[in-house]
Amino acid sequence: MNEKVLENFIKLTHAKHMVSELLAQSPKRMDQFDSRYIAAMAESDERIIACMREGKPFLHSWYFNAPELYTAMDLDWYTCSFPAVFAVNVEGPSVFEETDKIPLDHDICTLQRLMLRSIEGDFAPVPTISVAGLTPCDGIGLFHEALKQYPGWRDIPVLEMDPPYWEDEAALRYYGTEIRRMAKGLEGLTGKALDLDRLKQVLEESNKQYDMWVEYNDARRMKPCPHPSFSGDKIFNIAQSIPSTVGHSSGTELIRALLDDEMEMVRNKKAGWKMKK
Amino acid sequence: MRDTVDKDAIVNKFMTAAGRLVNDEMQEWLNRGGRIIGTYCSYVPEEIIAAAGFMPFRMRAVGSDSTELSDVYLTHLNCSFVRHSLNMALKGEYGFLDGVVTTTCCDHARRLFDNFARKESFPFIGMLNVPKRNTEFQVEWFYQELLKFKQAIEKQFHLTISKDRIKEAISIQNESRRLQKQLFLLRTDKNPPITGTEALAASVSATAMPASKFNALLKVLLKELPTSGGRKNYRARLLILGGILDNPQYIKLIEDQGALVAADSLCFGSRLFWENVDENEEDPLKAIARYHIVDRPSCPHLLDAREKHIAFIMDLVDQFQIDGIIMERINFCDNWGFERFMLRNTLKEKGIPFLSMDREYLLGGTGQMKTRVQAFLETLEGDL
Repeated sequence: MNEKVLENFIKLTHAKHMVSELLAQSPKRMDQFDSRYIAAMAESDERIIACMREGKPFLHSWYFNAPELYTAMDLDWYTCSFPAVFAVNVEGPSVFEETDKIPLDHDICTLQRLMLRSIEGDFAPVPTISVAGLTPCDGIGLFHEALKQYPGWRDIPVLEMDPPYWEDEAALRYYGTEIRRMAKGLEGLTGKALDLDRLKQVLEESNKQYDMWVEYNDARRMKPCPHPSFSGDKIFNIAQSIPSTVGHSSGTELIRALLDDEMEMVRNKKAGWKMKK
Repeated sequence: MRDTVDKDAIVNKFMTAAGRLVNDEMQEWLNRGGRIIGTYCSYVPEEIIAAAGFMPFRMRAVGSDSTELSDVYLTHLNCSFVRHSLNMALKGEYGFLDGVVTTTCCDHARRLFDNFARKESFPFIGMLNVPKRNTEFQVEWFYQELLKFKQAIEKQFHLTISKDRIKEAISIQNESRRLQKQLFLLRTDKNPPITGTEALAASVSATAMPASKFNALLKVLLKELPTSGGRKNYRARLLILGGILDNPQYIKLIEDQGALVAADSLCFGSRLFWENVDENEEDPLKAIARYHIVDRPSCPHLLDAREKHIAFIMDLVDQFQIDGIIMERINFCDNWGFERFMLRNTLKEKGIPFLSMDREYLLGGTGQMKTRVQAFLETLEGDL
């Protein structure tokens, strides 16, 4: 285990706890929500820290890699886009200067460059298994290839699912087979079995989250718009990217809280943001 | 004396064809009522198009001088080849085409497809989903894609593409590949009878003429070219690595600084003809699928095949006694941007000098480019 990574990851997690605690003291309802939202992120981080300390397996993966499977299999995972973005809280603006020093063309996606920086800067823990992302853009698949340039990442098993471009029945069958293969790979590498009944439960919970997400987005068509633009992104993270909330009832409760707040704003015809003049 | 004239005439024909959108052989094909389908990527199987009776034409934006129309649909963050090509389509400069086919090989090409589909720019618009992995499962997927592609052409143009016609087309394309490889291998010689500029012009011409016509020309050229006694006194032997470089003038600019471009790994270069489609496979579409997903040197889109591509480059370095590599890339290309990032470590480990050059699709910034190439050559001379 890389002690520097552990130290940095703990710093990032502490920063999240601190922000969450500060927001919890605010009387504003949205701050109260954000406190719980950031606490959920920190909770996921704590599980990764525990894995690193105890030598337990954990994954690096993505929201688009069927994360419900990880919940169903009780696998711990993280996405390096989070430490990439949060590293600025620990390192300050020098993160951007360091990122620019990486010999990757500056016209390539900033997030991918920041993620490489999080690897180089020892902010992203080397997982036991990497489930690579091959969608939605060219860069993401190649980012995973690039990870093989780094010590530690070079030697870990990589699973990947090839995404079809089409959305017809043949494409669904193709991707279904890819997901099954990935799940089999995870079972073999972690020794944890995928219980399909448990997966169904997780999907039921996950579907509730998705239904509320649709409802939430529909309400944002109202004038005045009841919530600011970034609130929708929070549901995206809760439903797909934060391991402690994906397919968990705690995630559903969080989204419900956000939706309830939005509905109240709609009923009171209040705007969730103020136009700056 | 006549031999020399023929040789020069053919080389000039290739240089002219590479510098124009419509060359004489293509015009002759059109005049005889021949039809053409444009292809945007080397993963589009020319054999299926040829078997349907069309001439496959690899899309270029040669002659474009602006992107004023395409800028409405694409942004300055899109690949300049795609922007110029869409602009030419919107101006009607591809009016000689009956259709175009793109692939999913890059983000920008996919947007090109979206725009063509929305504008209904051509009677036939197709896109092939090229997988990113290269196992047997992906070969099967691509095979199904080829079947759908074949059926789409049959339906659109009310024709039938027989297995025998596809096998015949494979045979002709394989002959073209063998001949091009033979020409390419001439540059393993210390004093090759052909330059990198001329070699690229030949391989670009191969994508812009009826294959049988091109093969006939190249056979004559190969017969008349000596195997040695060509270019002498060059400063270094270079390999050019990258994507859709279709302009021999780019190579000429490098060679004018005293280099010999002895080899390449380009979308219009050696990756097109290094391997052949298996002619013994009972199902020719299966053979084409396997060729593209497993057998041929791949581009960075195919992630599982990276090690193989590196091995391919290293073989070229050895076989062609390469002194240094120029890695070219069109701005905003993630595929080649990441490939360059990864390859630089490999090249450093192996002690192979390299130069990274960004470019736009149209040849520009030549002064700066000359200076950088000269400096690179001076570095190499210091090492030699």
